[in-house]
Amino acid sequence: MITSLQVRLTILCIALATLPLSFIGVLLAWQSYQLQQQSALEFERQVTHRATLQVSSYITNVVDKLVLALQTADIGNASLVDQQQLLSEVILDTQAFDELALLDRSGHEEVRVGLTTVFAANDLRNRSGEEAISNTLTSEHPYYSTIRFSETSNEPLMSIAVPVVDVRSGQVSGAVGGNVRLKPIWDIVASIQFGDQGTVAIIDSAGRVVAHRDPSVVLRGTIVNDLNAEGAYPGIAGGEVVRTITAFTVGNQGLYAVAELPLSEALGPAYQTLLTTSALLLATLVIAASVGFIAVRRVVRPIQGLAATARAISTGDLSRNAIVTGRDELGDLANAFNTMTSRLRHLLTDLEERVADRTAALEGALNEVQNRALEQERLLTENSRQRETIRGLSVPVLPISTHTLVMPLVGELDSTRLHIVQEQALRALERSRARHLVLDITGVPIIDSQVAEGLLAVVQAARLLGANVILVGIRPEVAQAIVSLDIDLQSMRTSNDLQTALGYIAKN
Amino acid sequence: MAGTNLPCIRPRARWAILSWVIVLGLLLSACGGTTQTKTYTIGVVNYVPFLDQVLEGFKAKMAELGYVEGKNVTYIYHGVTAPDPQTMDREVKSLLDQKVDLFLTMGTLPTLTAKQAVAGTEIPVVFAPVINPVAEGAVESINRPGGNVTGIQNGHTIAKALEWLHRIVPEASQVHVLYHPEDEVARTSIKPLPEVASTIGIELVLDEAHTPEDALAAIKAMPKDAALFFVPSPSLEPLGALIDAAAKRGLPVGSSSHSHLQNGAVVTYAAIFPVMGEQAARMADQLLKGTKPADMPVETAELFLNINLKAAQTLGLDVPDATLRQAHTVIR
Repeated sequence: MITSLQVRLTILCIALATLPLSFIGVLLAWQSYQLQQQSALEFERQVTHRATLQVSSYITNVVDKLVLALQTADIGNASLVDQQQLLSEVILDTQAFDELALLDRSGHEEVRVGLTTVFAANDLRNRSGEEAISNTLTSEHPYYSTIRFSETSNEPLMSIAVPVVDVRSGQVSGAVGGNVRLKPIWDIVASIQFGDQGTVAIIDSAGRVVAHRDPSVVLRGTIVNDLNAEGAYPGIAGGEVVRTITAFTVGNQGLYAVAELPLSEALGPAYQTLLTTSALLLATLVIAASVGFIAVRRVVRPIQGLAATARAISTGDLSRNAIVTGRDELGDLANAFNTMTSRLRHLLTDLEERVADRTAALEGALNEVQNRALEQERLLTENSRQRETIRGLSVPVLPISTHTLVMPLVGELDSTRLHIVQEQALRALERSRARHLVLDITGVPIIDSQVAEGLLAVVQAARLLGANVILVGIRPEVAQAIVSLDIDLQSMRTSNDLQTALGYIAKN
Repeated sequence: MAGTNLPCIRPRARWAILSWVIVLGLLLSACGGTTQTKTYTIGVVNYVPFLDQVLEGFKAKMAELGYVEGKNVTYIYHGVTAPDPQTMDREVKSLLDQKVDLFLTMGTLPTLTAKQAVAGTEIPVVFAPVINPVAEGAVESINRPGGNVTGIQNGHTIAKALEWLHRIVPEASQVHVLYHPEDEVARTSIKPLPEVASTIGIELVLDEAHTPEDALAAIKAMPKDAALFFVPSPSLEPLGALIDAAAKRGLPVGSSSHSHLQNGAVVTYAAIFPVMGEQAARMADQLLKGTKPADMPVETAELFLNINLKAAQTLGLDVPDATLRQAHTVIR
């Protein structure tokens, strides 16, 4: 399937230009072929007619000459020498007889003379059985027999016989038989010129060629079959020919005159027409192809340009403009295309500007949010730090002396605070290397089991660091609570107030 | 303006012009066509002087058929070759070395020598004449020669020629025939003569002659009322001197060679050599155009009665009007 518009249109142009011409050309060539063949056949018929006249008149003429000579000399009553002389004269004069013989009424030869042969008495034959002799003696008319070929030269000879009539009695006294040489008709057919290479041949009733321009054709015994067929056939001497055959008779013998014209010559004008048409077709093909190509190119190129522009636009390249090639429809289309592209370009530019504005605004808002978040984070950190500070302050460790630290605990103690208390106390003990830690729980409103266990854990951890822990400020309700908790406080020293505790430390 | 790259012609126009040039070129090449003339070399071999007339007729007809000497055909002919096989063989081979396209051979020995030399090649040989080509072995048969050789046979002219001599000089007491006993052509020619002589009732005397001197001596020894008849005898050629000698002695001469008429023979019954040459040229034309000699039948030369009335009158002979009327050529 051809997809290119240019190729399809070019093919269409060529087809439109050549198809009608091809049709007309074939029609003309066919018509010309028919006419030429008819004309060649007609022409050949005239030629063969002429050939039949010339050939039959040659043969009948030589026989007439023989008859006239015989009558003039009254051969029947002449002497043997005169008879020989007469026959010899006829042979030489006409050059048309291979031999002549005078025969008596019974068909025996009395005198025999040859063109090239000298006959002796013992060469005389009885020829009563020969067709020509017997027919002539019976009918008293000249008789033309079949054609035969000489043994020595292979040239065609026609046996003939003419009656010898006694002038006084009017009776047939014998006959003269002879062989008419048909070689001279080779010259007759060779002299018939028609066309450039036309040839005429004479063929006997058996189909054998007896006369042709080329002696070889006769001498090699060429046979022509199909003597009724006219038209284009293989030629007698080779090649394809247009032939015409005309039958004619010489005396009793049927012969055929054949005219042949080489096919190339006979149908030359038809071939010329075909050649001219072919040349014209070829020229038209090239012109149609080139003109079609150029014309189609002029139409298709702008379309291809538009297609390329459209493809570019489809991929986002709005900078492309279609080339305006003229003021025709394609030019209008290109203009409209360019206007559309231009509008699209403006629309897009506008849209881009608006998007940029929006983006800028959004970016501003985002920055603000981010700033706020940062501020919030900073505040949270500050808050946390402050809470740490507050937490540190809520469990203060006060060094009273180099050996004594005091931790006044105020407010409720939860697990976090207890953990901080433990951490602070241990860190301060490690740092100060104090040997006594006083935990003042006067400010602790509630001591539950969890708080009591937490305090006990601080005491045990401080001991592991080598310090004594003294718990002071146990209020009565707290003491009750501790007791109810059933906690072992044996390992823990207590004092009712800070001063007492400090005094105990000082003593120890 | 070289190198300007046709600035005034647009590329598209140039393309169109180029297309037109191609189309015109194609059309011209379709309609026209060059013809190259082929040239031919023809080797001519002859051993009988008077047969040069064959070559004259041959050349004339060839020119008519389009083979013009010096233009498209070259004849290589070194003149009459001595009638011995070795010389003939050398001559034929020298022509073969010169790459001849066709041999024209006059007579039996040149034909048989050429036949042997071209065996195995495609080179055709046209003879003009050979008296009996089948018997001599030049061709297989008249209809189908078979090999590379074909041509024109001279027909059976000798018997009839002798008869015509007898008709013109019936009073001659003897008819003498001179021949070289080792000359194959002469021996073949005289073979039928005794029978013919007896048929027409003449006394035939065959005189052997090994040299022209022998022949001259034989002529001198002939009776005054005898006649002399020449058969083709290449070994005794040229026969002009012998015919002269016979004329001096007042002996009428007959011959089966047309050329002897010019030399003073009273009557000849023979082929006319220039005509035979023309006949051979027509065959050569076909052979050069590719016809195989094997398929080209041997043609037969036409025979004509010719009278040298002048010579006859010199000898005091009365030639009948009827005979003169029948003659093809009459020298008056």
